[in-house]
Amino acid sequence: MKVYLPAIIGYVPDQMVRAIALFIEFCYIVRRSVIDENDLDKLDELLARYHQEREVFRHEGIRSHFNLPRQHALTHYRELIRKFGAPNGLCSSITESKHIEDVKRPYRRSSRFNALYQMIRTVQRLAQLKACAVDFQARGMLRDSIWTGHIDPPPNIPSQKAIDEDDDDGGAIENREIIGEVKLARKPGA
Amino acid sequence: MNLILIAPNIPRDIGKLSRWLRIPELPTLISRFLRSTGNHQLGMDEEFTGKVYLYSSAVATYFSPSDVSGIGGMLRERIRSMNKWRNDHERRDCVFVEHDADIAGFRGMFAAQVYAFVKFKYNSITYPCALVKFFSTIGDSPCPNTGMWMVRRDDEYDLVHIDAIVRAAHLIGIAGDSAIPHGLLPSDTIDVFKTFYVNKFIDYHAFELAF
Repeated sequence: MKVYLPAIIGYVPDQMVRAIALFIEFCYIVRRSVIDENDLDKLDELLARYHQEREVFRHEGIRSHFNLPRQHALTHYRELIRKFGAPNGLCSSITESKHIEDVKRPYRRSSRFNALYQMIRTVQRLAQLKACAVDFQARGMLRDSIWTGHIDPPPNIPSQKAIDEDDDDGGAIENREIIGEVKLARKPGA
Repeated sequence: MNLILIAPNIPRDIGKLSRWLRIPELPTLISRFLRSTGNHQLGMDEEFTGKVYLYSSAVATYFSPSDVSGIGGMLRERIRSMNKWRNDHERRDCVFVEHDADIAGFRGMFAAQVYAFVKFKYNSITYPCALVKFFSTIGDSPCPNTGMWMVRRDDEYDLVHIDAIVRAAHLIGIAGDSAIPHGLLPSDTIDVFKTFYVNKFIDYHAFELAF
């Protein structure tokens, strides 16, 4: 995406370039670690303009609708950022990882003959097992590991936090007045 | 047995260095720089005659404005300007040069290409500087379609103190309607293209800097 716009400008309608530029801007603002009121307003403005400009994909006959989950999710960013804070680089492709659970593994489990029906049955049964486990937990079952009461607890290992506290390198930098600096290389040369 | 000269000795004399770099303006630029900078200025009829050291790179360290806290917000990159990068092609990086810190975004900055990093001393003050060619903006607002500023290279060399350099910039050529020749090398694009986009989408820091 970083070098995409200069590559396509002139070859696709200008409105498409504008739509993609607005979309990238939206992504960059959402990606920030700190999002303030101005950014949220900016998000609204960008989104409204993006919805206008993306119609070009419909006019050109590339798409007949925009009812796609991740396109739809854009409208909820403002509300959810207010509720839960900055997404901080959260990847919306996380749903793609379901592909492994719901397609790849069930396929490998099947006999490869009429695989679809076997896969659907596998996924259905796994879902039922999961729902069952949740129900058991709600009833107070499955609280502890099956080993509880049968073996001795492990010896005390110093926690990661205790180790970290001994280390005083890499603390915060006090002086924040300059936002950046440039230094020459240590040695001269060509 | 033949002796292979791997790297020639770089002259430190201002006149010789200027010939070695093939930039005859260098002595004039340094003298002009010293007349306008610092408390101990160079006299109007004096010329700077001291040693000038050539450097091939500089390191920029900076925080992104939206993320000044935490270790993740700090970035570091090397700006290079050398005849042979990895013993292969010439490399002259582009940078953002600040000219008005009060104006946000690219309006308060220039894009420039660094032709040499030099260091010289005058009246016991050391001046690390960059010999650059600035880019002037085309129009007074970014491109309405891409949202990126468009720039064109100036002809004149200029000398700026490296404190004015913010970080490296990514300029990407504007191809227009013409096709790009097949054998064009990435290292040549900066010389071949006449106009460039200031790519604010190259990373999230540039996005907050060059809007």
